[in-house]
Amino acid sequence: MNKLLWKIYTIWFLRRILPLILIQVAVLIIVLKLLAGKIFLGKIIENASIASDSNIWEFAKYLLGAFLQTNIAVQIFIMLILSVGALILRDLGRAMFSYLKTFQK
Amino acid sequence: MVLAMNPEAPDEEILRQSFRDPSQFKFLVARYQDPFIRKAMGIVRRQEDAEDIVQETFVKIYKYGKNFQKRAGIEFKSWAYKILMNTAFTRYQDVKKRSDSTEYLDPVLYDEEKPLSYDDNLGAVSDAKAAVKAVIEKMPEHLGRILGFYYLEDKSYKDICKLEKISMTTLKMRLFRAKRLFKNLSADSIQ
Repeated sequence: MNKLLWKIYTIWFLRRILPLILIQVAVLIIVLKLLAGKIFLGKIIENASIASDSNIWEFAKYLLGAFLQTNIAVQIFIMLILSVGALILRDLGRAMFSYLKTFQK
Repeated sequence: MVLAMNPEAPDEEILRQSFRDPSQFKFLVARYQDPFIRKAMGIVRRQEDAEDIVQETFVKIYKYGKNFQKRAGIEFKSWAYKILMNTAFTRYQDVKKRSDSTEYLDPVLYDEEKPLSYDDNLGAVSDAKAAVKAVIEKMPEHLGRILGFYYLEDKSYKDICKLEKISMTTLKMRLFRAKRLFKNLSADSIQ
């Protein structure tokens, strides 16, 4: 029965999850490339760590401040990256949850 | 969000839910696995082959389930059995081709409701072959001959066409008539 359920799960994954994840990853890559042309993330992180002095709240505050002060296009790109990232995590979670449910005794 | 399915839910509902949540398909497998295996055993008469057929059938049901729509007079059960029978017949043909020594009888030639038991020995198979031969001898020569070529000598359609010098369509028609006559004659000889 496990072999059969494994096949069923694979069909479901290939049909419902994989295409979504592939599209999301493609969108993520495109947006990241566009963003890379506008900001230098390494420098921002470096500045944030100097400004925050190893305090995680200060670090977050710096990043939020930098986000609010940047131009609208960059803000949209960042929001898009966070949203698509959340969708990828949701779909991976769904795949994991279904896997456990399918094979639990 | 997929809610936990009631295992007593109708087949169509379970199938529909399983497209969102594959774990639901377990209920259909649990419901039909044993009857499917019994039915497949009636055709291929080998446990391993029957299990493979049933597995393939369930995979096809899941793959093509979206095409299935409940219409008046068509239930999931009959649709699923149709897939099972098609898969089993295809497998039967493969098994027959693979092994020349395969002695299974074509399902057309025996009662599907009461297939021979699984542990029939070669002697019983040989008796069955003799019985088939005896019925074939009662048939008109041209029909009995092609039935013999096909079932007793395992010749392909192409070979039979060449031997009989007839077209494929004629052969299929004759084979169909021969099978029907065979069934009637066997029923008469049993009575």
